[in-house]
Amino acid sequence: MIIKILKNPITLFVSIILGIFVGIFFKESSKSLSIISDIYVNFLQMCILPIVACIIAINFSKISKGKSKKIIKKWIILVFVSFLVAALISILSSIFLKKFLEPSPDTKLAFSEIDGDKTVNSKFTELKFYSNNEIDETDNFSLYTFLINTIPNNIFSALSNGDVVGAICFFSILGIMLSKVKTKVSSNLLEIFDVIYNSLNKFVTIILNFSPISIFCVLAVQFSDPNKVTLIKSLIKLIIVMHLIFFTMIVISFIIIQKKINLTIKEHLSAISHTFFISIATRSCMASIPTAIEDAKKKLKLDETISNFTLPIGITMFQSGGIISAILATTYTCMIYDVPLGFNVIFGTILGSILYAFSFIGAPSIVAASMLSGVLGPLGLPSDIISAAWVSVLSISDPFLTFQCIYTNIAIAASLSSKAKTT
Amino acid sequence: MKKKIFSFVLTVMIICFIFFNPKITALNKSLKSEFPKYNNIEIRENVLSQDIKSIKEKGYLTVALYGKDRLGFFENKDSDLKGFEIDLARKIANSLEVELKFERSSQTYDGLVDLLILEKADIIISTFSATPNRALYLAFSNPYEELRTGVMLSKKYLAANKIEKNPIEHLKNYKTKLCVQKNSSYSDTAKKLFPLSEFVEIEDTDLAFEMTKNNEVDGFFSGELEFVEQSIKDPILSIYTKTYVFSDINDNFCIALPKKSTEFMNFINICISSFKKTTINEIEEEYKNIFNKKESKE
Repeated sequence: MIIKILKNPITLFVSIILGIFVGIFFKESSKSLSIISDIYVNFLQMCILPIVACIIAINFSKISKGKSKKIIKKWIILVFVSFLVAALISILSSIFLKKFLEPSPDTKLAFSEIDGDKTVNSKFTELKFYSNNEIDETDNFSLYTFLINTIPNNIFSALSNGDVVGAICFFSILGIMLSKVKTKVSSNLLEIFDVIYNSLNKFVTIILNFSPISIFCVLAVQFSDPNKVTLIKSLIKLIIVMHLIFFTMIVISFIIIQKKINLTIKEHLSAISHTFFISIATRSCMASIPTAIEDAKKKLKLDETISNFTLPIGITMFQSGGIISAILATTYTCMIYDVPLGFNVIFGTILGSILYAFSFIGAPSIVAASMLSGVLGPLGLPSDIISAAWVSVLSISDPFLTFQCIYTNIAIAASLSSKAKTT
Repeated sequence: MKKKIFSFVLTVMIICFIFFNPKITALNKSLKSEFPKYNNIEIRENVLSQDIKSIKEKGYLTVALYGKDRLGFFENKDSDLKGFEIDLARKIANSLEVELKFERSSQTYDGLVDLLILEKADIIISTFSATPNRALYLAFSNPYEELRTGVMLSKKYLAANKIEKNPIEHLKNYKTKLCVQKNSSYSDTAKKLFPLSEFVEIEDTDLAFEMTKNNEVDGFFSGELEFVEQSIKDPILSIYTKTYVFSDINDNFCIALPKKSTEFMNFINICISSFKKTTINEIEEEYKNIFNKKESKE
């Protein structure tokens, strides 16, 4: 009975409203709820790496068996199409909404006060002129560094450090190779992966039953933190535009999925509600992977193999939300420093943002924001102010960014799936 | 008991002897009458040096101040002069027991030198540093404030050259376009430190800051006092520029006097030695409070 109530989407909705209410009006007591939310998110994250590893090994072994090579090619093309669509929508929004987005003097003032109440003097960087100073050059993100970082030199340290990209690389190769070694032991090993995946998936399902409680705690904790309210207020226009872009991407994904499934709009919305609430509450793509896979397979009735194969990798590595975020950050920086949005800047922004989206993988907001220098640096734009401000922007836009990334990948999986049979 | 009575009588006798003895009373009187002679101001005035004497005879000390407000001297909302340099000038005037006047007609630091040479001012206290060129014409006291020099660089310049932490080697080894205040101590220092750079000499510091902000020059070499002052006046400056201060290159502010004022120099050095040095944070705090009040009034 309790489980039934907890599973009901209305319970989830009520817990979201309650969480926000408690966070705003009972700030002090809300902070203590972080223990419950941390335990919940940790339980989910504990299972992610083994689930992703097993699911990739199993599905790569199946896909490499022959017939699905075309699917991989199509999938990669669709991923890049989704990236380009996200980039184009972001660039066009920035150009057409330039006047709306233009930073006001108050916004600039809020930027200058990002360091808080520090004295002016303490913001200066103290250096020794007569000591050995080395030439300081930033290492910008590049395809080379991405490739080097993708291949782990030690799989055990990659696993212990939670290096999801490294794990994906290793288990993809392992899955393909296990399918090539046609012995009983190799198929037994794949079965072991299957058992591990199923057991952990069961555990995650149990954990997810308690999501209304955790969502309530997570939101209460988040809304009890009033820091950087001024900055967020002054960046509200930017946050609105960002959400408009997310919304456009979600609508496009919705139409694509709707065309592939035999569900009514209401059923479609209900099918995706659990993934929506989990991604909104946890604000973590990784933590939402198990729910997304389950919803895609069981509720949206997408192809099981394709969902199992594309969703964990896609949600982990192909986050179009990162591109939207990076493009908006870049165009906004151009507006602050009066740099015109010429062809070179637009081309550089799109290219840099796609690379940034890869570097974004699994990174928390604060790290993702600091990585913006990888996009801004090559364009000769300063990144310190926008990186600091972006932490606040992401703290607000993270929930929808997470959902947009997951939903776009579900749309890609739907495009790859054959149209579901009428049930 | 007998012993006690005896000691009491003896004490009474000694007291009577001291107070009623005519010789002791006379000596006391003569001492009292002679003492004022040693505290006679007229006698002391005779030994005063000519430079100090002329100030005391005028009854006021004229301090030359740069025409525009600076962090060391600025007007508050009631048009009273405030700042650590005003406090120092006041301390010197009080020690001399004279009034204090300020001469603010000069709009350039070079003009301050002329004010002293033309005897329109007795001393200069105006965030004034000792430089070899100035030392040809003026004498300098011990420093009363030691602050760091530095360079404010345009963030676009830093981004274009991929400089994230330390720009020193870049500034040393590559040609950079830097602003310096014309005929200031910073101008000499900057030219020595960055020999490859191209220097734009500007009289008005506000213009130099504006040029750096707009990326018309790569940076502005100056002192932390100027950087703090401008950052308070123009808070969004930090969006466009980044400031680096050099802990091993100080800018020492000294009081400048006419070459001949050797005795007055000793006097001023003693005043400086007992003058509490103000930290840059204290200077900033005082200026910020007054500047904000002034702004809100306007």
